[in-house]
Amino acid sequence: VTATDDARPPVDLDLLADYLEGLLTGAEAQRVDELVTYEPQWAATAARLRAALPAVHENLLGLAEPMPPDVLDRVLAALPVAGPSTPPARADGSHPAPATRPSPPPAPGRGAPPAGPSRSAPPGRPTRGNRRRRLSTGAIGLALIVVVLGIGSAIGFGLSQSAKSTSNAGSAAGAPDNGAPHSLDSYRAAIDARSLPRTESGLDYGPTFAALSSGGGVPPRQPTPAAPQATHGSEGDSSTPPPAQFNTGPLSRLGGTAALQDCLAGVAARLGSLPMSVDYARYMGQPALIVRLTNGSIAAVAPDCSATNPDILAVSGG
Amino acid sequence: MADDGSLDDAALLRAHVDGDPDAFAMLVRRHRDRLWAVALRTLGDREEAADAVQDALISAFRAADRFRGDSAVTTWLHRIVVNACLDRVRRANARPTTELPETEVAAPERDTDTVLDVRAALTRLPEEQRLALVLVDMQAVPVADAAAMLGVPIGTVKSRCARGRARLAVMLGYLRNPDGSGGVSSQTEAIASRTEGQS
Repeated sequence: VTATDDARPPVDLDLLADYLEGLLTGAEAQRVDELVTYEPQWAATAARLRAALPAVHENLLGLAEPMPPDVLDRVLAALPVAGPSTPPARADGSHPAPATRPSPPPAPGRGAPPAGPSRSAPPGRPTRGNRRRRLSTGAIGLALIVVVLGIGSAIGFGLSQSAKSTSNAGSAAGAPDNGAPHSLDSYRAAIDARSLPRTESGLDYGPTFAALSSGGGVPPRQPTPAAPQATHGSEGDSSTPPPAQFNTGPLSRLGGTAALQDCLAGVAARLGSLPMSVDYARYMGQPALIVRLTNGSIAAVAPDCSATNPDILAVSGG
Repeated sequence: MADDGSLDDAALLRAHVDGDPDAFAMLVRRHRDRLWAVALRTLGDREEAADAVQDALISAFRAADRFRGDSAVTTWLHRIVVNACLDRVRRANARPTTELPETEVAAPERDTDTVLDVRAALTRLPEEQRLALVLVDMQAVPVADAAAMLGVPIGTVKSRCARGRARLAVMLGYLRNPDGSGGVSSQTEAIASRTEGQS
């Protein structure tokens, strides 16, 4: 088969592909049939293409790969703050409404932080103010459900290990989601403690994260949506103080957004998963922050939790 | 909440609409790999794919109450991801590009013995062909379902797949002469390169 012969019609690969797939009909099919029968170059190309198709198919099959855990974490973390159905989103998903390009720095990898839209969201996309309004309704509902789950459904979670030792806290939950090293900074950037649903149930959780009692006299309270704190972040869009109930008791330090952000980054880095909600409560009688993670696990951390020392008391299986 | 498979996709979506906070996440976990593969291979960039999947799933999360059940939930989810990917491709195409000029991706380099990596070859296909192949060949989505996801007739999906496979065969060196002498591969690749983007 020669490369060129100007007297002969060049092989039209698209046409030949359609022909071999049986997609041509009538005169066009007949014309290509004649070319493949009488033109050596068409005939050779057709023969080779027909023979190559199974190999091409095999090559394509080999490209499948699973979604990386950090991408899954990022997506799952974004869903709770996405709020309920809103008019801008179309049922077929075209022109999706939410902005997801992260404010720098990004989530693990580069993903958007759970908080959702960036400050530079273009017109038509949710602004931070809009998001807060959504959160004011959506997060309350979510937090209520989280409390109920913490009391009821969480019974099913098995405690994989209970360890006060911070050095072993990471392995208490088993290996991180993707088995890869996790950057504390990337988790710190991915977490927005202000928008995380918070509750102060005061419940005392046991080894299976089932509530044992209402704890040391702290009555369960209504879940409270996360409140912005002027000392953290610089959006300047709110000066609302943190909820009063987070300012008392042994866990008061973690009522501050900065300390909570720091603590949650440490927990996330140790356990390889982003936080979905927190509950100011107790674990086995001790004051503890109960952190629900996107990988399905629940962690109890001590009041002195920080980025470098998350002080994880126990972790349920995810 | 562990996925014990007791709820099908439609039931999970209904549960989400009814307020179950775990249902949609379970749906995502169930289909994540296929949705990811579609985004990754369509966009060819991990971070773009992650953004597209996140856009799409947030959109689906919010629009779940408008899912009418005319198609399978997975078809609906795929369609949303496909749309998110195409939106990104179109936005990228609308931006000034620094990509190599067309002449630099044409035939001559194919005369070397180097076989292009399949992934790289896939990214050189027109987006319509790439999407069709990702769905039908990579993900084994039935052609009719792929047509529904892409919003085109079944015959169009078949043609896009056939043409895409043919171009891949050229780019991967399958159409060369067994004896290695020029010929068909070069000329056919030149044709393939010239017609890229015309489908």
